[in-house]
Amino acid sequence: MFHATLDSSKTWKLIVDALATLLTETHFVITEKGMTLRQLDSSKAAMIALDLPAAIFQEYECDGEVEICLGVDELTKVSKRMAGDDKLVFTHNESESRFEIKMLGQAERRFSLQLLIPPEERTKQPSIKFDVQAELFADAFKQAVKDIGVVSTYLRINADDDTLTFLGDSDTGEAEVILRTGEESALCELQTKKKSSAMYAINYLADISKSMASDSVIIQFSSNKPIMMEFSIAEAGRISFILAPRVERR
Amino acid sequence: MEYGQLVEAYEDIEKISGTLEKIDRFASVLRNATISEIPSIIALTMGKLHPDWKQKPEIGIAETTAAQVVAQAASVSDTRVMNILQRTGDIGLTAETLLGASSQMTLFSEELTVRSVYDRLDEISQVFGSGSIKKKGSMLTGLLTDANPSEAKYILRTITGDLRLGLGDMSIIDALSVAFIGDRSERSEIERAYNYHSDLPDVGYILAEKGIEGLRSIKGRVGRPIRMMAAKKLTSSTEILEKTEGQAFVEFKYDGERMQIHKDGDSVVIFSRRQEVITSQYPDVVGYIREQVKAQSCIIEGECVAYDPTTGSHRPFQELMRRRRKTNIEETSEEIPVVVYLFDILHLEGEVTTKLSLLERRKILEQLIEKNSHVFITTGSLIDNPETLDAQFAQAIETGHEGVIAKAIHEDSTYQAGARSWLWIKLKVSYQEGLADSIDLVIVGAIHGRGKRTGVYGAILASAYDSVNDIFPTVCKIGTGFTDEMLEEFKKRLEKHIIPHKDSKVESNIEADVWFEPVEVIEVLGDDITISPTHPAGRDRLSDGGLAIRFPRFTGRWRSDKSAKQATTVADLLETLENQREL
Repeated sequence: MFHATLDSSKTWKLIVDALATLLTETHFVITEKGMTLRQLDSSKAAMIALDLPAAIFQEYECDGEVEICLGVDELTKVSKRMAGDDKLVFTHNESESRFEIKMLGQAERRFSLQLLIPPEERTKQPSIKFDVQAELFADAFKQAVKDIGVVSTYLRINADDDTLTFLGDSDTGEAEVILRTGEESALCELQTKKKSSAMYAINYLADISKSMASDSVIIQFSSNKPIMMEFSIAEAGRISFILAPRVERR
Repeated sequence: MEYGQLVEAYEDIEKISGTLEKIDRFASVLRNATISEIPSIIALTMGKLHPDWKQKPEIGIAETTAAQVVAQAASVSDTRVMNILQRTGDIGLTAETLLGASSQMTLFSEELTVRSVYDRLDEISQVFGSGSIKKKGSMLTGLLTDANPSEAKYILRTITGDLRLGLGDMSIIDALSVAFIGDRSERSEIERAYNYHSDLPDVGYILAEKGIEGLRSIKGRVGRPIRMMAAKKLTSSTEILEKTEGQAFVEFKYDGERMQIHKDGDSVVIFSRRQEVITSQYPDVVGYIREQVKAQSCIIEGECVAYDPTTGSHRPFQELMRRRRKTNIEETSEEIPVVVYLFDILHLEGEVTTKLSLLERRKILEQLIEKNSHVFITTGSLIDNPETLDAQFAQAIETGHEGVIAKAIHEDSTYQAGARSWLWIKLKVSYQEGLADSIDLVIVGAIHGRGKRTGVYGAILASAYDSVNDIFPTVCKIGTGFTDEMLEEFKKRLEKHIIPHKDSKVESNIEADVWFEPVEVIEVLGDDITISPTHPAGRDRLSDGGLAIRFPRFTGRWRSDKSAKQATTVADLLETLENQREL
C-alpha cells in the first residue's frame, strides 16, 4: 500500500523532467522512509539517483516495500497536464496494477497509469571516491557547458587548489571558462585533494544541466573517472547524476 | 568465448586472400567454441540474427542511424562521421577510426562474449513502438562503449549485414565440415541439411552436438521452408534431351511467382523463392489450398500467375508484383486475381517425397488436388525428340508463356533442394539473336542524365553476384532503350536506396554519380558476353579482363521476387561464356 500527497506540482514536474533526460522507464522503490530511484541510461554511461524522503510529502503512508515502474513518456504527458497550484495525490492500486495521480485544483482530475513489470535486477550506486569537490551556482555550470559546446563535443574539467577550468577544442577552435574561488565568484567552494583532469561528453552534460532546478550544484570528480553532479529538490530531496568519462586512447 | 577472440579471427580472415585459408581460420574459431556458442558465432558472421522465414525482427538500423550512434559513442558531430564514412565507405572502419581516438567509458563495463553480443543485438532488434529508434540507438551506443575499437568495427558490420570477410554461406558450410569432421569430406551432407533446414546457425549447432548423424536425420518439416530447386538453361532442344537422358517431361514455364506452400490442417503458409513469408499477400491462395488440397499436411510447389478476370488470359509478372506494394490486400486480390499451377510435392503427411522420381511425385500430386478454376497442375507432356520439344516451345510462346522447362524423368530424377540442377532445364523466350536468355542484374549505381534526361538517371550501372567472393562486380552500364516511364520508375524505386558512397560489396572501375545499396534486381538482355578491361567481374578467374555484357538493355521487368544474391552469378556468366566460345 502506498499513498502520498504533494502540495507542489512544480516539484513533481522538475523531478519528471530530470528523469526524462536519461530514462525511458522509471523504476521507483518506495518504503516507509521515502521514494528512491537508481537507474542507468541504456548506454550505461550515465546514472540518475533520486532520493525523496517521506518528509517532503504532506501525507505519506507506505506498508512494506513497493516497486513502481512507469513509462517516462506517459509520466511526462500527465505532468504536462498539471496546473501550477494543483495539489497532487499519489496512490498505488495494487489489485488493478495501476499508479494513480490525482490533481486537486478547480476540478478533481484523476490519471491512472498502467504499471510496467519492474526489472529483475536493481541498480546499485557505484561507490566512488572523488579527489575534487566543488560547489558552484547551477547557472554558472549551465553557462560553462553551453560555452564549451560552441566549439566542442566534449568538455574537459581541470581542478587545482583554487581554480576550476572548463576547456574544449575542435577543428574550429578552442574555448575556455575559468572559475576562481573568492568573494562574488560563482564558485562557492572548492576542495582539491589532488590536481585532477577529466573529459566528459557535452551531449550528456547539456541534458543533465538543463534539469538542474536548484540554485547551486555540487560536482565531484577525479582524473579520468566519473563525475557526480548533485543538487537538491524540495529542500530535503536530492537528485544526483553520475557520468562516466571519455578516455583518450592516443 | 570472448567476442575479442572472434574479432581476432575476423581480422585474420579479412587479411587472408585464399578462400581455403579463410575457411580454415574460421574453422579454428568454431573448434574453440562451446556447442551453445556455435549458433551465435555463425549468425554474427552471416550478419543476420535470424533466418528471414522466422519473421523475427532484424536490428533494422539504417546507415544514417548507425552513423548517429557512432557519433554519440565517439562524441563527435554527425557531420564528422559522415565525412569519414564518405571516404571509407564502411561504417565499421569509421567507428574503429573514431573510437580509436577517444571513447566513452561506462559506469559498469561488461566483458563482451559472443553470446552477450548476440543477445544484446537480439534485444535491440526487439525494441518497437514510439521512440524505438532513439532507444535502439542508445542501447547500441552502450554496446559500443563496452567494445574496443576493433570489436566496434565488426559489431557495426554485423548490424549492417556485411562483415566484408569474403566468407559466404557456402564457405561457412566448408568451415563447419573442417571444424567438426576434420576435412571438407562432409560438406555436401552439411549443405543438404542446410537446404532442408534453412537455418545455418542451427545446422551448426546440431552438427556440433550430435555429429554428422544428427544432420542426416534432417528432412525438413511443414512450416519451415526448404530451399528451392532451380533449373539450368540451355539453348538447344537436342542438348536438353541429351542431358535428360533422351526423355523429358516438358512443362510450360509460367510468368508468375514461384511459391512453396506448406499446409498443416487449416493452417497454410506460403514462402517465396527468397524464403520470405508471403502468406498475407495471397489470402485467396490460402483459401484455394485449404479447399482443394486433400492432404492433412504437405509441402507443395507451384507458380502463381495473375489473370484478367474479364478475358481470363494471363497477365505479366509485373502485374502480380503490384500485390507486394498494396496494403489493402482484400481489394487488390479482386483487382489482380490469381491462379496457381502446382508442379511438385516435397512432403506428404510427414514423409519426405523428394527422393521419389519426378513422375512418381507428379502422380501423388495429381491424386491430391481437386482441380477447379483456380488451382491447376502444370500442363506438360513426355517428349523424346528435339522436334517435338521445339514445337512445344513454339506453342508455349504462342499461348503467352515464358517458354518451357524440361525435367528429367529417370529414376534418379529426385527433387534436389537448393541446387541448380541439370535435372531441370529451362528454354526461355528471348530475342532471336544475342544471349539466349535474359539475365538478372543488381543495380548498384547511376549516372545523372543530361539534356532531355536532366533530373532522371541517364545510365544505370549493373552488377552480377560473385558468390565465391561475396561481392557485386559491375558487368555493364545500361544507357539505351529506356522509355520515359522506365526512367521515372528508376528514380522512384532507387531513391530510397541511395547511399553517399559506393557500397562496400560493390566493385566498380566506373565512377557513378549516385551509388545504391545493392538491392534492386532487374532483367537485362544483351547480345553476348565479352571480356572487357572496364568491368571487374570474374577477373580472378579470367586472364585477360572482366566479364561484360555487350549491348545491354533493360526489359522493363523488375525482379522484386529476387534478392540481390539471387541475381545471375559470375559463375553463370562464365558458363555462358564457355558455351559461347564452343559454338
